[in-house]
Amino acid sequence: MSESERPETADGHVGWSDTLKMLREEVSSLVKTVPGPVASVSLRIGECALDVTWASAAGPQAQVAQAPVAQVVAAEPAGEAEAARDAALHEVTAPLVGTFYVAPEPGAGPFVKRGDRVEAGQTIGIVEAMKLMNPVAAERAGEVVEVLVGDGEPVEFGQCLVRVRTDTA
Amino acid sequence: MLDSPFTDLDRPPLSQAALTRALVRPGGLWSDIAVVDRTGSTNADLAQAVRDGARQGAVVVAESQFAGRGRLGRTWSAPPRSSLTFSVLLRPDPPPHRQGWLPLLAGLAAASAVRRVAEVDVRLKWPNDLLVGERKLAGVLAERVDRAVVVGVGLNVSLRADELPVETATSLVLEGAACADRDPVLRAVLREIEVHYREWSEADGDADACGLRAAYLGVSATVGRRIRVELPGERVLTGQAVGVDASGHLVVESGGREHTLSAGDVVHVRPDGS
Repeated sequence: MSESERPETADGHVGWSDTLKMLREEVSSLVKTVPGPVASVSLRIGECALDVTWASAAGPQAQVAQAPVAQVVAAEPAGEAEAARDAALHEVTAPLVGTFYVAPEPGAGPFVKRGDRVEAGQTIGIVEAMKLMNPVAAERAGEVVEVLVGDGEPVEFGQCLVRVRTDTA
Repeated sequence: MLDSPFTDLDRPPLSQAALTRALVRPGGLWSDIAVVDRTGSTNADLAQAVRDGARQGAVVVAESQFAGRGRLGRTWSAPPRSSLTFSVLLRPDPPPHRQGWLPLLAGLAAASAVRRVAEVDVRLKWPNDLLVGERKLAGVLAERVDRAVVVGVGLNVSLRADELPVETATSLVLEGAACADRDPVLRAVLREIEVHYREWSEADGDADACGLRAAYLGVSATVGRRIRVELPGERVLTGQAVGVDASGHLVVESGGREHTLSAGDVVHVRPDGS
């Protein structure tokens, strides 16, 4: 890991926000370069700590499909990259290539929005292909964390449409 | 008795018994045919039937539909018995990514039936509007309900000019059809759907293996034309319709690029650009 330039504040100390930025870059670099699923990440600024724990080497790559819950403890809200690895997040994906609609018809309220509770089987949107309307349902109950696709946008097969934080992790 | 089905002799009622005798047979696709006087939407009725466990091949025909819906929640209405408004329940075996062909298959079936029985030169505007010239004769809308697909068809039969829902519509009577009797037209459409659906199912939904793509292109009014497409989100794409891909998407060449569309309102642009 190379020694990077550290912008200094007027009194000669490295600014906290810059330290944090540097730490995050280090974490990001470590996570990308060391193989195996990450079990936990923690960042501290006071004494400039950085802890990254990898899951035990019992089953290195084969277990990626059922990745362990990543416990993210950070000095500021976790970025999207960390959130995506959170096993408590359920991704509702497009069942086919088509056009995504957030509401049953133009002008109507959306099926779901950020912060809404959804039940398993509840419709979160529609994917249209050749005038075949395909309702898309959440498979698990939880809270809508993010709606990733805008109304009327094209979607690919398997593309994530909505993220739901499930009730039981 | 203003509501009597026989007040307008040009618009006789459909007979559920006669349709059932003609279409429901062992080993055939059609399992149950219901003719109802009046309903909100035949698609909604069959969606409910799916949830109640109805079998593949159920058909609901409405003499009058007061909440018929098209794409994007567009509604229309027509005088009783002046149109064919019906829906069919399918439980397709081919994988979901190939089921986008079902609405095209239904449009093709309706177009083939109208050409044969009514002798009207009808063609398909992508994905499945039946056009005579540039006037719309029929529309098709499909929706997935659980693992079933409900396909609804609305076809203008005896509407007069002053009864058309929009100026750009037409009817079999207005086009001087050889036959504008709803019973034989409906039978022909259902038989065509059955034939195409069986072939498509046997090919596991491969539209090339069963000849569906070639047959569809044979009656396409869109492919080969200069078009303007009103895309969802108020975007517009202008270009040349060059084909339909293996999934049924429209391929449009515009600005030196090929665009593949899954939804949108196509407008055929005349050669003079108007």
